[in-house]
Amino acid sequence: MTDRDPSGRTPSPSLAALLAAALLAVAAGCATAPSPERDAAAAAPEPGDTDPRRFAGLWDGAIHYVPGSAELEATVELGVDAEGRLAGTIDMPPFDMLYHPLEDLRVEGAQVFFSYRRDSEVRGPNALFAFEGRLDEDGDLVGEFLESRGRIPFRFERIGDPGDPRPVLERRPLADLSPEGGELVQAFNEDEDKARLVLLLSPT
Amino acid sequence: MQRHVFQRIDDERLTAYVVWGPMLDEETRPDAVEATRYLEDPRSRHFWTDADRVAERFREVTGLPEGELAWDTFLLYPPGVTWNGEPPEPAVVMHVDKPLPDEQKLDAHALRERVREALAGE
Repeated sequence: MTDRDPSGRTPSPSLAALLAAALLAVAAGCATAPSPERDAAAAAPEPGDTDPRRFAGLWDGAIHYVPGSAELEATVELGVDAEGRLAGTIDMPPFDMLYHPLEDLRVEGAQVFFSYRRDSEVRGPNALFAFEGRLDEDGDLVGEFLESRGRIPFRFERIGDPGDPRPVLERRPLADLSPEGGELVQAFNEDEDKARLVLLLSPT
Repeated sequence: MQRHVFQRIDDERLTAYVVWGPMLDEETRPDAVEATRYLEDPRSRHFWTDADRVAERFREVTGLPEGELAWDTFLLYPPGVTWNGEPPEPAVVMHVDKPLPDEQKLDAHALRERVREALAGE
């Protein structure tokens, strides 16, 4: 067992990483579309600038343990409260984390810092998971996710404003296979004119 | 798969069959119902099996040694391939933590390119 994800599980193979992958935003059927405000969000801050508003938004992306293979999807909402302080929550659907509160949010120059706590099988209760990020030239929020095993790169795309609807993952119909998989064979042959991916996966 | 392949290939000639099963001997059908969210593209079809037989049938064409099951494998078939009898030979096999070559480890970016090639008839 590693400490590579918030639940203490390896963000592997199974689905999070892969299928997921992700998850969302621009996906067909999602509730929100990519935001056109990317360029505005990318405005380069002056050194020493602590204005948190440039980080405000609904951000969707992944923590890239192994790019293209083991990725942990997340959606982060960052807003600015009445006192001008950064506040926010994080969703990690593979771990049933929704609107999970962020803490210790702050801006230092070009960087934003925030973290959350969650029980970890490896590190025990209330373990700290932290993000250190900045806006890149495309307006994406990029940086590193800190956990006990090291620093893992992440990239989030701005998909909306704070308060916008978050991506909704819709369940798909699930058909039962007979032991030999006859229904799969039939579907495969009916789609002979298509490129077909066959994925054999664990749902947990 | 959703983010790296399906979101980036807007082609109705692409489909996926996801077979969810008991790789760890503890998964249940409700787990699979939830997991369908992670490949929600309407071009995908999801199946559940509570046995290892289907994963066993794919062992040989994935190149796995005897006794292994093909859970956590990703197979690509180009148009034109049909399935008669045992599963046909895939054009691409990728895997996660299987006793197969490292070069075949899942790389969704590479898989996307292979899908594009298959759709282009290359």
